[in-house]
Amino acid sequence: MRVAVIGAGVIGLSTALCIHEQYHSLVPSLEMELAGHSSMGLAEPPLSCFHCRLWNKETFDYLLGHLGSPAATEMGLFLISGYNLFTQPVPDPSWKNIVLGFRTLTPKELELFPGYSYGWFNTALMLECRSYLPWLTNRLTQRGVKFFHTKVESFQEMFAQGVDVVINCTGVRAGELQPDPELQPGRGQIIKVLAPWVKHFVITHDIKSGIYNSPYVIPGSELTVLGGIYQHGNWNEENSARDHKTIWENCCRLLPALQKAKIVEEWSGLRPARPWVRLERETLRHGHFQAEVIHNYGHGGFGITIHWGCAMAAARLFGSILQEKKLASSPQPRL
Amino acid sequence: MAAPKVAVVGAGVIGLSTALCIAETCPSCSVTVLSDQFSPNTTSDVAAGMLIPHTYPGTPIHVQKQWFKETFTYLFAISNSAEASEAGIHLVSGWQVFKNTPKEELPFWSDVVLGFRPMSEAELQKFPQHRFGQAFTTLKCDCPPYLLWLEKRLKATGVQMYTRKVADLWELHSEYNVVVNCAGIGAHQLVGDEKLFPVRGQVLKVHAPWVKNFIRDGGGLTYIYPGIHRVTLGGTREKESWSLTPDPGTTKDIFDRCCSLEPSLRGAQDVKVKVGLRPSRRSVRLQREVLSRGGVKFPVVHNYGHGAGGFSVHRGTAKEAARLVGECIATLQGSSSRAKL
Repeated sequence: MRVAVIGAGVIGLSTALCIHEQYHSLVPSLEMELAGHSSMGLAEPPLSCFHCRLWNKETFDYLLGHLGSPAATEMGLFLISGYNLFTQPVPDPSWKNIVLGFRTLTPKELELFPGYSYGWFNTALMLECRSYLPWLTNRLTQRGVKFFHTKVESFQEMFAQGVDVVINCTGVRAGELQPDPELQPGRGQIIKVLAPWVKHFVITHDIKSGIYNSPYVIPGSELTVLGGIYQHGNWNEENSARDHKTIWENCCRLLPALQKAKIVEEWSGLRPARPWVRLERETLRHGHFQAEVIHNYGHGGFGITIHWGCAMAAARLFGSILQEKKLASSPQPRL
Repeated sequence: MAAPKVAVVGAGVIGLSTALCIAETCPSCSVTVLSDQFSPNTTSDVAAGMLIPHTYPGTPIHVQKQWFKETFTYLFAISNSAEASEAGIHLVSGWQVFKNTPKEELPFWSDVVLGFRPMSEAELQKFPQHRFGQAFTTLKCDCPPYLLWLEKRLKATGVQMYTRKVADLWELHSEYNVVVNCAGIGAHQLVGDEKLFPVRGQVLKVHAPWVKNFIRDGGGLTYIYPGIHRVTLGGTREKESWSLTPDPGTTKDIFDRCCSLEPSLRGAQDVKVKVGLRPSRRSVRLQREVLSRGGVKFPVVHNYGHGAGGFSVHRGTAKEAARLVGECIATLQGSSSRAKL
């Protein structure tokens, strides 16, 4: 049974690992390969998506379980507390019991943020992809998964090579393999600064400008990320001077302590935005080939937040494929 | 008296903040800081600088609370300004965890810090050996940055600073009108205060930048305080020990205790070991005294003995000391004008 995972971002790597961990011992003939050539890391949940609450909880609990292990630092995993700010009272989020220590802000805390009259405090998890992706890659390599740095041009190409199941984790460019008008880039730009005195994340919300288009400050283990740009439909991966100015001015106004921070890097990326995550099976026929594709893409700006829940859902879909092919007789064990 | 000359002995957080308060409240005063040590070699430089008060058994609680509140308010404003990084002041959130539920569930300062509340069951799961906890957000003064920032502010107001070992306060009586004694543990020898005793603290300062929250065992002996560049791991409380030499066995013990609270610290790098002697006393000595020899009087304001709580109350006690200096000067001016009659 040959499985090819296309995409080596957080979704591709974690889905590959989840499937391999669950099925490798059950399916001795399982051969997995991964093709792909690359995100931020604060596990703060998105505001609406039907399955997302479950996937978010599964991801959070999974990571929380790793927090005390020696692997945590290598994974880029740590706890961080901080603020979500609003210009008017809002109902509590659905994830309030998933994160730790959720509460609303006191008046004295709100004094720190003029212009915002309501907010939340909680402790969440940070998962830095610059550490997590290499960690996932190492785990996969140790398990014998082969990596190919090639661009896959079509699903058919995989099937013609004898791949039985393709896991499609191609993110924002999934449309190149199969047209998907629902999938659009959500362009973002960030500035990375050296500001180790900032120990909290600060995320602002502006109903008018929409999520991610309002300033946010997210401290990493070495650099702090300043952001607040979301441009739907914009494929441009070049840094924009105008966006730089917007981010810098808004974040310094939000946190005056940032004014002396040294700017180290600037980066633009394309969130793979979709009204909902595409996480489903598809059976493709090509001549007399019949092969299975499991789609797992379209996670927008919250891929890290729900990645493990999605990986487990993809693994369940894989399990049902195995059952149909009578390759796994008993119900799949859960991790 | 044209420009009253005030000497402040001591250049730790108490000496420097007191000198600054005097310069602020008495612009006509000429203020000089004299100390045998300056940052980075003061006791303050070893401390983590966390604003979590120590309770002085000999000082009324409402007074301690007032000192803490003034200090917190002062630093809170700096932390949210462009000066924050230079001054080394930043907010930090975290947990105080207890193996046994404390007698006093609400410390006197719980409404001064931000967001004080009991920890949830889910939060306590991270600390399997502890049964109860409190979560809150407070401020941290990183040293040396804070002391260097105070020195910069002092220079800007015209305050002079000199390295000088003062052996006896009286030696300053011919050069200065008032002396302020902020000598910390040095007051034991300087003024022979037997009620002042060292409580030795050894700490580790490590590189572990992924630690963003503080953790303190309610007893106060074990703590993890993330600073701007380093995390302070502590500690010890050794009464009457005057040794400034780090002890390797203690280093291992502190590290192990902290790792059991925060396992990821096993990956901490570049461990630096430091020792400080907390200038401890049942109450902070914050009072006027008049030294008198051969008919010559020399007013003194004492501001020392802050023990484990110096940073938490420094601004409050500095303001009170400045007020007492003002009283001394008024008394001197009163007697000098009487002398003219």
